[in-house]
Amino acid sequence: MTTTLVPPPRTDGATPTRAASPLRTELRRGLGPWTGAAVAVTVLVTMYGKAPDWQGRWADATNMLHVVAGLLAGPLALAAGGWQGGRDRRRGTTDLWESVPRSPLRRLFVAVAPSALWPAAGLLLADAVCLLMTWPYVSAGRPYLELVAADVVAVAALGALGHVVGRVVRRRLTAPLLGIVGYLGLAVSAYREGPVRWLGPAGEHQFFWDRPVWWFGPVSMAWTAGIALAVLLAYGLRGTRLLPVALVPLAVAVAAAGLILRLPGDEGPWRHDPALARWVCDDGAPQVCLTAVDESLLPDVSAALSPLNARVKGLPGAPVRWVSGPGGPARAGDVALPSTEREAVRGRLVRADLYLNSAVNWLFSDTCQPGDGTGPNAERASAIHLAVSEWLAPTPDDYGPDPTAARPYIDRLTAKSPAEQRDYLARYLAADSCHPDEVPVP
Amino acid sequence: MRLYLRSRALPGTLAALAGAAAVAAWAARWLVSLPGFDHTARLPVVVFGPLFAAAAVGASLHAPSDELDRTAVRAWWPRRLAHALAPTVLAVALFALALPGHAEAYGAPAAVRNTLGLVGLTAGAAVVVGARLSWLPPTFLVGAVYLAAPSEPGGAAQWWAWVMQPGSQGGAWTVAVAVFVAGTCAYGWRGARYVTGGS
Repeated sequence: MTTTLVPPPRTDGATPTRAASPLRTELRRGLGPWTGAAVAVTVLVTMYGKAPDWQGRWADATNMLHVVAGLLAGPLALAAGGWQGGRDRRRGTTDLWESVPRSPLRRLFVAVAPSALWPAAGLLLADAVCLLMTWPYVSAGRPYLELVAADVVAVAALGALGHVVGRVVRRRLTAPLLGIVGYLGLAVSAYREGPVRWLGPAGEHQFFWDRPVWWFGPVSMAWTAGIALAVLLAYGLRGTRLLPVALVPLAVAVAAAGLILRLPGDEGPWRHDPALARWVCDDGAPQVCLTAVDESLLPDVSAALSPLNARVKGLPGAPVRWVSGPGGPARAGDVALPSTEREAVRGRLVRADLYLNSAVNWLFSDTCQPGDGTGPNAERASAIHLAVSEWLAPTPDDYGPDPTAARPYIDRLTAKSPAEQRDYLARYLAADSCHPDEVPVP
Repeated sequence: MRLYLRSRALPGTLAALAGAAAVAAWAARWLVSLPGFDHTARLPVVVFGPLFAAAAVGASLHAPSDELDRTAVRAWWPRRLAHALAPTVLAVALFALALPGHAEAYGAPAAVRNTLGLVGLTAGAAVVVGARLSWLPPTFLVGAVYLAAPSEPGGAAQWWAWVMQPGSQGGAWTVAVAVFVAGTCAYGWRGARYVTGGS
């Protein structure tokens, strides 16, 4: 009888498994993912609360994301980085790290990765969500992705800086102090006058007919990433002959800062964009013209102004064209429209009554000389101005002045026949509102 | 007793609280003195001063020898409560002195309310995530509501953005006091979670 030796079947346990890379482990464990989630939630909650202010124009969305990233995500990344940086000291595993057969710099970069990459990833996710939420409502322009990318790099840089500070400063309160001091420092830098404010990652610019100069995004990235890299290299290469290598990113950062500091103090990197300020008009009479960024609002604005247009159409002194935007009235017969910023939400005019009231007040506003608007009839003229405004566009409740004093004139205007109303309006428009005696009594 | 105080870094905590109040008093005066600013500009001081104080109190709740402490024959909860309450009372008194005037806006009452609420939140966080990371949840809360809170006080925001409300909002006081009572009681009952080395 013979027996045959059969090799035992291979089990999975016998298969040599490859150890997970330290970088992957660092990224998956610990505070890193929580930091990313915290940054994303913080930015999204804040943006959600202010959605009516930004969800309609790329410039508003980018600006709000920039401020929120700088003021909220930045300090959070600093604090979380500071906490992560002190981890090995708290755990007493510093000596274990020293025994790893890898260069100190490589160990440092692996340890810093979650502090820098997770907040950046959280911000990137929140940015993407907010920009996608803006997309359906915008009319013109493009999202300034280079500025969004610069914000992401700035937050990663702050996380890395926080990590190094957390390693160096051995105090329990290092991390929260980093967050609070970081917030105050970033807030102060955002409200500074002059070009210095454009160095900080939270400098605000609210003007939706502007676009940034093409190089501002990349140079901002070079500035923040250069500073962080210089600090990391200086810390990782301390005590070695390679320490001067840290001067390379520092030189890049200084050169980038030099470029940013040469920008004009008030407008910084922002330049007027004629394509965004281009007028888009309806075919009504008087014509209504909005800038290209507000094109989606044109039907709503035309509809809001239609009662007023019906009354003033063809009258001498009435507007030929309503115009909005930074240029103002360009030719005779143009009358400026108030900004749609307050009454427009997500590409719709939500307070048409308020907007019409503002437009009427703008139509009748006049630049008077000192000493005008006085005399025995000044009070009566003021009441008539209010009465005409209220008659054409009643002020919504809880807004504007009390129309009680103008009530008799409003009643008289309402009681007139359409022909008499039109005749009175023609006389009113022809009068010089700065001289009370010339203002016709209804 | 002295060993207990030193092991909890209480001298450093008290120094941090005094320093925070001094910086808050200076920052409040400086902000109000800026051109175009009035007493309402003290809002950052009323929020970030108590946040730092709460972080300092929270960090002091760390027990370096938790397992040894649990072998003690005496009940720990009175000590824990005293430990949480004593620096809070000090912080409350210091901030009340540091922000005089305009009690209806961002003055002493708002700072006291925020100190109580944020200390409660920190103490509660210490029970869940450990004392050394207890500063993170209140920092996260303040970060999330600081820009998201509406500029008009009151309304539903006084419940979720209570740290941003003026001193006279009853809803904000209710939330802050409830959080303080819940957080300190939870800490007194359970103590800070013992985390080896932290995450």
